[in-house]
Amino acid sequence: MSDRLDDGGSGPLRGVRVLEYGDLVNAPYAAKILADLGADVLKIERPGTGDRSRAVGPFPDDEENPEASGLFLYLNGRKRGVTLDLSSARGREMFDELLVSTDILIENATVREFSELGLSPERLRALNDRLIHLSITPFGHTGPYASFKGYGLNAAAMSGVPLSLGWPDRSPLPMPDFLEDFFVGVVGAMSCMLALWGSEQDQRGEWVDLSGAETWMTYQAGLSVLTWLFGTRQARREGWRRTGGPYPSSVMHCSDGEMRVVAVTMREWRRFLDVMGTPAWSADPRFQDRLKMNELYADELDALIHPWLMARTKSQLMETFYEAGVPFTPIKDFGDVYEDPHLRARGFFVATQHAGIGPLEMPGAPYHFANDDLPLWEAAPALGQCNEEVFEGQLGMTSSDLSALREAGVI
Amino acid sequence: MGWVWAGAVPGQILSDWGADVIKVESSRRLDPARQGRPIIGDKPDPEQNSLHHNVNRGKRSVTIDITTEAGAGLVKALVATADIVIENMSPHALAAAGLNYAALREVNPRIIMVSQPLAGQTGPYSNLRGYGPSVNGLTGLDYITGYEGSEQFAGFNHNIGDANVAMFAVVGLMAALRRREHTGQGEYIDLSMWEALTAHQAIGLLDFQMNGRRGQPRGHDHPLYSPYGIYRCQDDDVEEGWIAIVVETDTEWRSLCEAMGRAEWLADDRFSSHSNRRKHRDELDASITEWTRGWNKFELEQFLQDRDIAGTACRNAGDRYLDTRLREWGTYVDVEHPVLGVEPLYGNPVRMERHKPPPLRRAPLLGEHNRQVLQEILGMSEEEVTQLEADGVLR
Repeated sequence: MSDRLDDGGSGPLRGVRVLEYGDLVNAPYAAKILADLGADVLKIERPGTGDRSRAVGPFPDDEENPEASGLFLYLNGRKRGVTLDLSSARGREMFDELLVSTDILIENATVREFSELGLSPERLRALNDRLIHLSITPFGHTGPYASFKGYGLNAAAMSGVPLSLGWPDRSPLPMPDFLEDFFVGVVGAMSCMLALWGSEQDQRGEWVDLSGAETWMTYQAGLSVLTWLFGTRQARREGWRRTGGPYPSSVMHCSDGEMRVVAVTMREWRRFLDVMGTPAWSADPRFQDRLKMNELYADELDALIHPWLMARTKSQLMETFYEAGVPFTPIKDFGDVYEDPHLRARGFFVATQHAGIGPLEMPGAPYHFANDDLPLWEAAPALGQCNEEVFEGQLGMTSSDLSALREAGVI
Repeated sequence: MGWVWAGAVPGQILSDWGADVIKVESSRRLDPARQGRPIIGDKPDPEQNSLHHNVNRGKRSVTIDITTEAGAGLVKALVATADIVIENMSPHALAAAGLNYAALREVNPRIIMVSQPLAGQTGPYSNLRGYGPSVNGLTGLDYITGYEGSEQFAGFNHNIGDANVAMFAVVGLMAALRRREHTGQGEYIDLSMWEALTAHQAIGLLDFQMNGRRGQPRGHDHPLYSPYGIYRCQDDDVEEGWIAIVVETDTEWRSLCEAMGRAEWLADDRFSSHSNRRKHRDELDASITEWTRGWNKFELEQFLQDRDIAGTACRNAGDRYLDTRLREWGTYVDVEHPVLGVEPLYGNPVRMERHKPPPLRRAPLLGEHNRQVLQEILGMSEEEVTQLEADGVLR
């Protein structure tokens, strides 16, 4: 890889070649995070329908169009794209040829597909012994639930996190908008970086078996096992108020919406009382121990605070609490988030152009590197957009080869 | 120098993979992850919080009051020997201590540093204070977490943002560290917990731009799957039973109808396609619940999996810990701690075929490694350390 480090481009991962055989969110997002840092990502889609995220939307004016799905456009910007049918023998041969010049392979084939397509690490290592290979599945290729079938929600359900989402008298909630898979995608990108480091130290490849279920059971729900074992609590749906910690820890109304009202330290609580003008009730001896306050007097305290919040708007409160160092923050809808002055000032949104759609502002990468420019945005590939470039340019095929492959449905 | 949850996890992950991680903390401003309700007894104890035990495992702890000149000097001396600095304080707090990147680069130009407070280093609200739930509100996530058709969102009552930003921190650190191997150049990464979660909200943000929608609770409605959701099973003595069921393909739908003994649904127009099932979701969900209600969640899980249907029981903490197969797999690992005894920590889900992480080690006691670190790494004498203690620098 080192010989390609300064072949132009930008970002700390320039020169790293990623091959993605990913569908929907987790694997494509892992590859996107690497692309945002400068990696050259080649995405393989099934001929015909392509990545399922092309069917998710949102679509401009709600008109379904596989080239205009917002989720696909976001997850696959700055990638090159080809179509290839890996269930055909010829498709697998071409895949193998691409692997030879690949540093990182990211795929989320199911366990069954994995063996049908010949993605086993033993076979791939024979083609490229320096390959970093990340497999993302709901339940892992190893472990007690490897044979289970599942989607993002099933994997996250194993962690119990949904048990804390929703109202106590209704069902637990799935996470909205593929959040289960987005988080696994970030952990996937992290796994690639850890493996790349290890591989560059000893000049050998690596296979990473990452499962959504275990990712959620550890990084997101791992703490709860210890607290459960020592008898404190299980995850519960509590609606807007969280029990078990200090008061306040809830969502409360203000004049034009809602606020997250959370103070962890005593200092933060005292600052809030200051902002309210140190009301007389704050000296009540019952209201000194905040754990007890949350357990016994939360309704009473909410009623004392409610009128003060209702006399103010979200943006007034944001300003007041920010100045005073009180960690109460507004709950924003997507119009608010899109227009957020802080995100705007940091240049978080990236202006992009898409053929047939026009301008869209995409969420950007969440970091700035002081000594390195991250690469600019490029629009996601249309289905099979780079077939000629890659198969002719990289694999040395001719245009009549490609016609034949197209005819046979391989690309 | 990371604290609470988000700031501690990047160091935990590097430590899980064998890095020597030194946690600089102070009893003068105790890490909130060491506070809270004690597990044993009722006196506050910095050694009894499950968050601390998990996210600081394997680290060495030194207590340094960084607001003293000598304390800040010690941190700089440690940074001079380090590869990576991780912190998530408010930008003004770190600058006030004279320990921001500009200052640390002076003592170690090759240092790679990530700052990952809630709102980043720049912008009008850069010193915004907040916790995990705060970013759920700021990113729109709270707003769309709820029951479809309901006026009022339920909110996302889980701290997803902390671990989420930590993963991005490790991505950035490893990318910069690798780059440094080739160029010798140090790096500073300005990372925002708020932006790291907003990055997952592309659907809502693009729907606003394309169609003017500001967001509504998503509930059990899904663009690809139907049925889709979490259904009630039998309860046990203490806990409610719930199972997640997802159907995408026609084959899965056929299998579910057969599994439920509702073959007649296959000819029912209301349920003949994903979009029709989506339209009649309430009826469908009510019928499914009627059926799942009679099942034990684990038995139903096996019944569905045997028929190649994506059904998985929601596992609460007790279910997960008592599942010996998960402990054998290493999802949870028992580790000995001097205060709590044997305690389960979460394992390392990144399973590499060749590189095996070292066994998990417990979290450090407050200041447990003061002498070891200052003597071994900074080459101080016993007397010098004692003097620093007497001066209130090591606390």
